[in-house]
Parts: sequence; structure tokens; C-alpha cells
Amino acid sequence: MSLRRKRIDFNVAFDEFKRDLVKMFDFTGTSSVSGMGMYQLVYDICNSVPKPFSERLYCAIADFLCEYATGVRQAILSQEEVVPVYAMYWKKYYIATSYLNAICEYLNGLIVKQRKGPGISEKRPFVGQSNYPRQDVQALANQIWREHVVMEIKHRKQNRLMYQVFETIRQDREGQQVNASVVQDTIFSLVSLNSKTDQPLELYIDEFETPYINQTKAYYKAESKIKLSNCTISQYIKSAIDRLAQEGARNSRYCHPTSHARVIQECETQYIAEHQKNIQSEFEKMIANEKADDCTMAYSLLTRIENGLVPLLITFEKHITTVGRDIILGLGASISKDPREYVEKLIELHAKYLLMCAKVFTNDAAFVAAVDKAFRTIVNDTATNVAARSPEVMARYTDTMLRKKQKTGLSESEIEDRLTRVIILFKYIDDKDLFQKFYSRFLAKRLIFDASLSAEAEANMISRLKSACGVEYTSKLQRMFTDMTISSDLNAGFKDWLQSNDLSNGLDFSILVLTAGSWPVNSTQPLEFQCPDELEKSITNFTDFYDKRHNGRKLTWFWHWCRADVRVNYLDKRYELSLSLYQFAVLAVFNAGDSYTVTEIREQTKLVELELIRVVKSLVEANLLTLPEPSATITLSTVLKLNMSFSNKRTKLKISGGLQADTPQETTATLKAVDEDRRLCIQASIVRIMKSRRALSHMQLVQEVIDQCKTRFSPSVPMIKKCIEQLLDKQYIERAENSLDRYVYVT
Amino acid sequence: MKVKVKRWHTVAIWQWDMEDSTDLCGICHGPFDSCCPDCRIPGDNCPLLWGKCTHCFHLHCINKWIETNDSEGTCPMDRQIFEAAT
Repeated sequence: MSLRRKRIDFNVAFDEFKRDLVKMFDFTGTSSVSGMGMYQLVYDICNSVPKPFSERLYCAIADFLCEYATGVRQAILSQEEVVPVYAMYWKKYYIATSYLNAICEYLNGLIVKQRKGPGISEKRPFVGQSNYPRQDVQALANQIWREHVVMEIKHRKQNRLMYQVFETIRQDREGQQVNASVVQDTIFSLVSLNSKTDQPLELYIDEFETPYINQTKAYYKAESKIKLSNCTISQYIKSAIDRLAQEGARNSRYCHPTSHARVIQECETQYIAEHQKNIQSEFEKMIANEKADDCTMAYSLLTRIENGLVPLLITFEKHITTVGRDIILGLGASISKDPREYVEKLIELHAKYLLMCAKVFTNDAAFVAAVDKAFRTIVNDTATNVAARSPEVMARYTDTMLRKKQKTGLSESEIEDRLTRVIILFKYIDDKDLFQKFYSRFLAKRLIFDASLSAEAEANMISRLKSACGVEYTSKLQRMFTDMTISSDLNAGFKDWLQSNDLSNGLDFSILVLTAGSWPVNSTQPLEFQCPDELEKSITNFTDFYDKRHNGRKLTWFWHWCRADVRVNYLDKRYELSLSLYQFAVLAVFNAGDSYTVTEIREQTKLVELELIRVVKSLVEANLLTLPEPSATITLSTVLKLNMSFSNKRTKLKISGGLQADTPQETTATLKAVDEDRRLCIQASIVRIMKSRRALSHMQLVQEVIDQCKTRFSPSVPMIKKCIEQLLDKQYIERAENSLDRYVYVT
Repeated sequence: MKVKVKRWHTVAIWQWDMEDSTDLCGICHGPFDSCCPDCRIPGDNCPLLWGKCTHCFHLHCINKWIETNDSEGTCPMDRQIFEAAT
């Protein structure tokens, strides 16, 4: 390459340049074209002495390109199908112009630099006498193609090119075989043509994207309407999904990435949003008939549009609630007898819908939340079936599972599994305090009567409740276990004490000492009872022992929970009976004779009439005592005889006393106790809130109390009002001056 | 003896030896049957204390109160100097 400046005859030099240009653009004889030679020529023309011809060269190239483009346009328009010809010529033009641009690198530098020079762009914004702005040759070539090919066809030939492009895409949609690559090249030429301008996508958007989206809209508007009237919803959804998938593929075939979302959105609007009501209303049937595939499709379709899923969520929740209520209704009064069906059917239902969320709704959090909402309604619904008081029923269920010698025939691991799953339902209970009260009562009875399946199972259940509700929820339950441990130490200590004091009397005595505040015992005043003499000694001994061990404590004996294992000597076999202490006391009366009236027994045992008759009845039913006439009503004057001919296959018998059964009075007492606890809890919460906030309006206070209590129970507004009044009376808070519905904290 | 006891199992409940142990402690408002708010289990580790003024509290509760400056060593119920009954 020579940098020396030469004298040049422009016409001669450009003729030489143009010869090579023609070869380049025609793609003929390109082997004889020397890029280096052309590059030198450009340099020489631009540096000729005395006057450089750079601007003249630029304009001459422009003239050449105009001429060439006009020829191409005519060649394109001479064909019936213009798209393939356009694509073919464009490809060539694109390659040739990029070479040309490289060859004219030196020229570009001069032209563009002048544009950047100070003040020049205002004074001489165009090159030479032409109206071409100062831009490189590639940009110039693009401009010329745009004006002489694209715009000419658009304005003079009814936009034949783009018309055929859209027509081809339509045929593609109809499923016909089309030559996609030429369409693609044509569309992408619109992007390349503007790539050197300030608005690189303007031409593409104006000429292709905007009309394309309009056509897409019209196409799918029509198609979706026809489909909807000809097909079932299920088929409709299927074709919508197919269409959207196809459009996705078509997008990547024909469109610039910036258009993808816009095109798909238009399809979604036409196919889904416009007809969402039809799909949504069909969803109820799909769910009810458990058409999982249809549900999945409806979900995947409606999840694409804004708020499209809301009606599905409502339907889903409503459906679950209805199914749950039907179950509760169908169980009727049987729930109070056996809690198993209620709990297990609901757990099953819950598992079913959670599985559905996972399989059908891709574990969408909104659908899982709908299941939660539905179950909260089901579990706390007492209007449908009065027997379905879930806190009590579920506590009862855990009791059936945690008792030993149950009739369920379940293995320990099966029981553990059920107890784990009952927590799922437990979490939905609003009145968790009620569950706790019932649970603690059942637990107390299991512990007192030694009826627990295993210490391990009990501990596991407590830790489940703890992780669901926190330490405080189970702390009172845990205290019962502490008493059990303390009592077993106490028994061992008492035995040693008896021996060291030489007081052993051959009677095997054991005791459970309960801490009053830790056990759900309704009355601390047990029924009147005269302990049989032979046992009296043990009681006094233990009381002595206990007083020495602990200071300032008082023991109250719960006779109705005491038991005695006895040997019977008056029958042919030596039976061993396990009795309640009351039953034993009644039988012990007969040690002195064979027949007594109920009144006589009462004088000795001091049992109240109602309790005594119950005990006597249980002994008659066990065939240990006989009535003068079978099935006579037992009154105070009834004469009872010891049954000397009692016989049983087994020698070890447990005589049921009906004590472990839950009486309605106990249930009522439990409910009352819960009410009392709630009152205390609400009062404590009011004091806490007022202490920190100093002054609050009635509404604010009520709301804050509800928020504080709702993890345990949902407090009723009248109850909160009552508690506020009680605290006003006790002067913890007072009404604010000048305002009736405002309270202030009294320090 | 026609019926002879071999083994027996009893249940008793313990409370603090006072008139009504379901009463509330005047300081923490928890029942005497239960322990003070800082303890977990009622028992000898959380005993009660009677003052000469006949008022009774959880030992821990009255100690905490006496230690505060405001108390000036008085019983919170009657504002007399608090002395433990012996």
C-alpha cells in the first residue's frame, strides 16, 4: 500500500472502482476483485492532488447503489412471489455492502469525522451537493435500500412484499408448508436496515410488528370464537394451549426477541382473557368430577393472565368446604361416640387436596392457601353438625390412640403416624385452648389410671403440640409428667421409710401425689368417704412421711380415683379382683356378714347415695352381689347378698366401675373452666396493652386484644367488653375525660 | 376375712396448707397453687411466705418486691413494714 498522494483523474479512477463494484454486487467474477486494490483506490481518490475527491466519491457510490437498488426492485416485482426474491437479493446486498463498507473505511473516516468536527454538521450536514447525511457507507447503503426497495414497494405497489409476508405466516398458522426462512430473512432485514440509526427497531416495528400484532389479534379473535361454539371447554383449553405453544415457536422463527412477549400477550388476551369466564365456570365441574388433566390445563392457561386464577381459587375452596361439610353432616351423632371417622376422613380429604395441589396446580402457594382456608372453615364449623366440636373430638381422638389395650388393632408405628397427621388438622382449630383443656383432662386420666400406651408415645405427642403451638402451650401438660416422676421417687422413699421405722404391714401401697395447680381436677373437695380400717394405717403412715419430707403442704385424698387389688377367699376358686376403692369398701362390708341393706352399707362407707348406688350397681352387674329379684331397682332399702356361687373362667378379673368414662357434667365443667381461663387471658392482655399504650379507643383496644389472643382462641367481642368493664370496676383502667369510648391506664 | 387387700393404689393432691390455696398471690396474680412467674414447677423450690400482717405471697414475688426501691420494705397490701411470720 502506498500512502503517497497522486494526481488522479476522478472519472478514470471511479470507472475502475465501479467495474469491481459491479462484480461484487452481481457475485460474478469476484475472484478477480482485489479488496486491497479497491482500498488503495479509495485512498488515492481521497488524497488526490491538488484537490481530494472524497465527497465526490461518496456521492458516486451513492448513485451506484441507487441504480443497483432500483434494478433489484424491478427484478423483485417482476415475480409473482416476491418474498423469496427479496430475501435472495437482500442477502447478496447485505454481504456486498458490508464488504464495500470495509473497503471504504478510509472514506468513512473522512466523511464521518467531518460530521463530528466543530460546527460542521450545522453548516454542512449533508455530503457535497447531495442530501445524504454524514454517515458511513453501510448506513448509506441501508438508507438507499430502505427508500428504493422497501418504501417504494410499500407505497407504489400496495405493500406487496409485507402483504405476502403476512399471508405466508397465515398459511403457517393454518398448518400449511411454507418457506419460513425467506420470510424470516425478509423480516430481519427490517431490523438490519435500521441498525445504524438512532431508532434501530423503528422500521421493524412500523412495517412488521404493529401490523402483525393486529393481525394476530384478529386471527385469534375469530378462531377462539369458532372453537368455543364448536368444542367442549376441555377441547377449547387444549387447543388454546397448543396455539400458545405454536405461537411461541413461531415467535422465535419470525420475530425479534423484543416482540415475543407482546405477541404472546395478544394471543392470551384473545384466547384466554376474552373467554376466561367460560373456562372458570366450567372449572367447578372439572373439580367435582376430578378431571385432573382438564384442571391442570385450565390452571396453566389461566395462570398466564392477570387475576385469571382468582375465580378458580374461590371455586376450589368452596368445593373443598362443601365436600368437608358433607362428610361432617354424614357422620351425624356418631362423632360423639367415636371420633375416629371424623378425624381420619378429614385427614384423608386434606391429603387428597394437598396431593391435588402438588399434581395439578404445581404446588401454587395460592392453591395451598385455598386448601388451608377451606379446612379452617370445615374444622371450625359447628353449625353443620353440633357433634362436630373439633377441639373436643380431636382431643378424644388422640386419647383413643394413646390408650393401651385399644380395640383399633393398630401397630405402634401406625398410631404414631396417625398422631402426626392429626396435628395437620389441629393447626386449623381456632379454639386451641379448648383442645388443650380436653387433652389435659384425657392425659390426666391416662396417667392416673395407668392407661397410657407408652411414655414414649405420650412424650412424642407433647413435642408435636409444642412445635405447633410453642412451649407455653404444653408447659402445664408437662408438669403432670413431672408429678409422675416425683411420685415414683416418693413411693420408693416411702417403702424405705416404712422398713427403717418397722412399720411394714405386708400391704403393697403405692401413691400418686398430684400438684393441685398442675392437674385439671375440677373440685378439690372430693366426695365424703370412710376409708376401710385396714387401709387407714397406710394413709396415716404416708401422711406422717410426707409431712416430714415437705413443709407446709396439705394432702387431700382422691378416693374416687384409688384402686385396690384383692384376693377373694369365700368362693371355690381363689379369684383376684381389681376394684375401685369404692367397690372394695362396699365388698369389705360383707366381711362381717352375708346380707346388708344399702342404708347399712352407707352407714359404714359414708358414701353419698348417688355414688353408692352406682357402685352397688356395678358390683351387681359383675355378679358379685345379688339382688332379691333380678333387675329390681336399687334403693336405700334394697337388701343385697354376697353371691356365694360366683364363677368365672378366669381367676384375675378387673371389675369395671364406669369411672373412666367421661360424664356430660365433666364436659360442661371443662367448658366452664375454659371460659374462665379465657376471661383471665383477655384481662391480662388488656392490662398489658394498656400499660404499654397508655390510652386507646375502644375499637383499637378490642382489635389488639383479638390479635394477641388469636393464637389460642378467637375471643368474642361481648366477652372482651365484659372484661373491660371488670377492669374498669377494679380501676386498672378508667374512661378518658370528655370521651366515652376511650380508656386510659391507671398507674 | 372374705376379701383381703393385696395391693392398693391411691391418688392424692397436695396444696399449700392454707385456707384457700386457689387464692391469688397479690403480687403476680397467679394462684398460690401455681408457682411464681419465674418458676416452672410448683413445689418446695417456689414456696410461700406469710408476713406478720397475715398476708401471703410467693416467696420469690415478695423478695423481688422488697428488693425494689419503691417498696421501702413494706407489704404491698397494707403498706406496713413487711416481716416474715415465724
